[in-house]
Amino acid sequence: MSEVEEMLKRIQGHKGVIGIIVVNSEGIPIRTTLDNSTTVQYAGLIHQLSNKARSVVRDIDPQNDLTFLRIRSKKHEIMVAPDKEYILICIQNPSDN
Amino acid sequence: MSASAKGRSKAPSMAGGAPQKSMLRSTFQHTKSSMMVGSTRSQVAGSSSKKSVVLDDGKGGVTQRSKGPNVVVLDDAGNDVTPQPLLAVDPNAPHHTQSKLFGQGGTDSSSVGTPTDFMSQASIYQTGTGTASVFGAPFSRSVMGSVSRISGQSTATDQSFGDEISEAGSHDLAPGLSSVKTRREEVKEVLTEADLDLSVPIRLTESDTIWILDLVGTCVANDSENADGIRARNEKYKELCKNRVGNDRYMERGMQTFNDAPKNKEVQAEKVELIDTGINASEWDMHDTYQDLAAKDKEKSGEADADQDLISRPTSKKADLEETSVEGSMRQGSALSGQSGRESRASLMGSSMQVSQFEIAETPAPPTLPEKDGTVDGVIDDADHPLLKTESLQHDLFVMERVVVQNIFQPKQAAYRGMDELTDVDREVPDEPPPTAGSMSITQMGPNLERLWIYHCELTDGRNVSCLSWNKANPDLIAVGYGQFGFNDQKGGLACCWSLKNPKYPERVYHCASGVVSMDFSYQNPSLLAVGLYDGTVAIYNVRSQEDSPVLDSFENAGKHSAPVWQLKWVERDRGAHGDERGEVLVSVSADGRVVQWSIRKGLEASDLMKLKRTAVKQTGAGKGKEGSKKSEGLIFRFAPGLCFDFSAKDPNIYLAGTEEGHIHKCSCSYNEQYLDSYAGHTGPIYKITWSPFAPDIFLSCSADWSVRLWSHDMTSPAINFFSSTRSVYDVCWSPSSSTVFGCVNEGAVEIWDLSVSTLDPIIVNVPNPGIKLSCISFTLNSDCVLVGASDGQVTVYKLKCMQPTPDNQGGALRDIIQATMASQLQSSGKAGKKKGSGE
Repeated sequence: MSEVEEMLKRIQGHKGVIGIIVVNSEGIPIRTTLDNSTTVQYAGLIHQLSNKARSVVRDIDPQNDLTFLRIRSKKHEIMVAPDKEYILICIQNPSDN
Repeated sequence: MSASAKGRSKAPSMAGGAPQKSMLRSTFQHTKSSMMVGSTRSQVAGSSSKKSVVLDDGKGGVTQRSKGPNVVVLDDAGNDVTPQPLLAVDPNAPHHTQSKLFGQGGTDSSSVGTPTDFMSQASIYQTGTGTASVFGAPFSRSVMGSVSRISGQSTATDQSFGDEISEAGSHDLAPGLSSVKTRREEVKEVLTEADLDLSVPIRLTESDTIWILDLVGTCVANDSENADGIRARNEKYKELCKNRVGNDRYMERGMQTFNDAPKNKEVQAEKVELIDTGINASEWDMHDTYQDLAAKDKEKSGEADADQDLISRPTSKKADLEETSVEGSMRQGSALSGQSGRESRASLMGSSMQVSQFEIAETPAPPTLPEKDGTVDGVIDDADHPLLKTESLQHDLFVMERVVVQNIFQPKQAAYRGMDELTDVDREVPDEPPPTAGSMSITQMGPNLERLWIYHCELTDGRNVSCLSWNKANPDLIAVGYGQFGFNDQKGGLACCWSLKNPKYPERVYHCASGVVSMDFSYQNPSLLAVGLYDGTVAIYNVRSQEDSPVLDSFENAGKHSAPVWQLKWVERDRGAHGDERGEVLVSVSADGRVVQWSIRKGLEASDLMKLKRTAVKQTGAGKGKEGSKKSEGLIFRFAPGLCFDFSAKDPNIYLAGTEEGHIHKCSCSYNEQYLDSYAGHTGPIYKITWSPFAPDIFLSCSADWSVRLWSHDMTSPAINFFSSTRSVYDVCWSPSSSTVFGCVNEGAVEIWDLSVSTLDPIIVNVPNPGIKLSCISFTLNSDCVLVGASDGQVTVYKLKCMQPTPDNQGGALRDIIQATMASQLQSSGKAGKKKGSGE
């Protein structure tokens, strides 16, 4: 199994992790551990938000760039690692015991 | 004049009744020959000889000479503007062939002509008609007219015909026309061989210039000769126009012009596509484009860069603010949603770093993309997608894992660091008393170990932790070696590097052929990890790389160990003897009784520091070591298996070595034959010796004889003995923060001792789960925690709580305690008898 697959599996196995999604630059998920409808929802929405966030960061200082984005909500936390070619999204419920 | 009638009848249909045409008609009636359609023998083009009228230019009147058939057109200025014919007969053309051709029925003149002549006639005829159509109606009429005339005069003799011809001046009628009426016999031209050899002269001459259209200009230059005259005329005309108004001589009169019938013509052109595009030039967009340009300039200037893909990448058109235009396609602005592909590329445009790694195969997404966003139903779950193989994805996954783990372990890690624990505001707190209350009660209990987390993963399950080593540069990194101690259950070994940030999976995993029993990180090169294996191999790994193979291996080395390497240490020693500057060497001790120094300058080179000879050290003195060694030479095993050693911090040349016999020998690197000193006290193999970090002449040792002993280097008997359990003590470690604290681990428990509190009992005893043997212990350097390795592969991190505050004078405090203890011991031994003076 490739390194990437292993790591995905490992992350998925951590405590409280609900799912992990890899989205390509057009907003189409290419790898997911969640069901289809949820994945598509997350992919589309996070995609837009991540772009907006990056835009914010870069507008303030064009030499800066967004490296990580975390959205903490009541129920869980969405962690987004954006990149030029893809977006990596992980949803975790950290207080899950 | 039937001819003329014919001509006239044709006229209305042709011309449509323009007045000037009627004029022409009359003209034609008069003219006998009006042939433009002259014919020549060899010329098609007309010559510039005299001609008759064809049409008038409408301006000037058509003047005609009543005499003679020639009509000459003159304009106002008296210029001869008679249109020249295209076809003109060469006046010098021989007429004899003509007469031949026009041989009428009556004549007996040879009407024989060669086909070549016919051909020429016929061709002329053709051209004649052709030109007739070109010139338009009048011509054809005239042709017809003349034909009819000719036919009418069919009985004319050659002479008359010739007269006609002569009347026309140099014109010929279309002789070919007559050939239509009178057919002649064709005589086959017999081609003879001689004909082939005939040299046919072909004369090429320049034909005269043909004026096809001559539009006289209406403008005249100011400095031409006519200018004055024309100016005068213009003035006169203006006067005339002025006088016309209100002048009796002029009368307004309406006229009706015939309008030509309009004709509709439709043209279909290709549809002009209109595309609306919007662009939103944000600051970073502009910044990126500038970077692009700068990078391109760099490229052009020939600098070697890794920007190979710059040119192929699309660039954006700037907003009006920019003056420079950038080639390339327009980029959709960020205003359009879902344009992340381009925007992400936009953000990347400037940086050239990792671009070359990725396949920038994606072209700008088509403008229809925004609509797709949000309505994508398909999830391409492709495990082989090329994106999944990129390095940056791996890196991001790595970071993500750390983040996820941090979410889980944050409180523990904060505790590790001694920071405040961040409470999760959204976490639903159960109604039971909060855990803080519990911990309060624990603290009231006194010093204790709080378990923070465990370094453990499925890879390490079931393996015995044999050694721990902290990274010298990054105190959050720990290397753990997994290997069995016993001979019987040997299996492959594992060396893992764990990071504080991820207790769930090691950062590096190195598989070794045999069990790992010792390891140490280097000081000078913090990424070098030396690993000692059960089979005697010393291997050096570079933890920067993920490769599973060691950088250096002592496998082929002649001086390698033949027994398990029980202890490895990187030592910074002055190598003054060799003239080198301060260098670092690797020293190892193994069960084959040798203390070996390895240098890694060129590969792994070994040199013996010491051979641990078996000694029968007497209890009383150390000086007898020499004699003892001589005595023991008769034994089968000349060397005592070395189990541990420790270099003195004060003097890097001095080190202590512990053997399986239970002896501790103080040795020097300069002498490899004999010991400086020997310490007797232990009765079992000594598993660990460690100098105190605060008091450089005091050291601890632990052994399988269930005891830990504290020594002072100048005394050959231990200063303090610690008996706390009935199990062999595998490991002992000083606390880096407090000179009176040390920890030891025996098979069944972790014990933390604080000498300032008690020298008889440990202050903390922590018992693990039953069935698990603990094997190593290590204090953390940057926190109050202690790591304990167990036989099931788990390394547990405990936090020391409620410890005594550290004494001010660490070294002094320790010595004081020792003094006090020894004094009390002496006292007690004095009471009980001198034999007990040296503690067992």
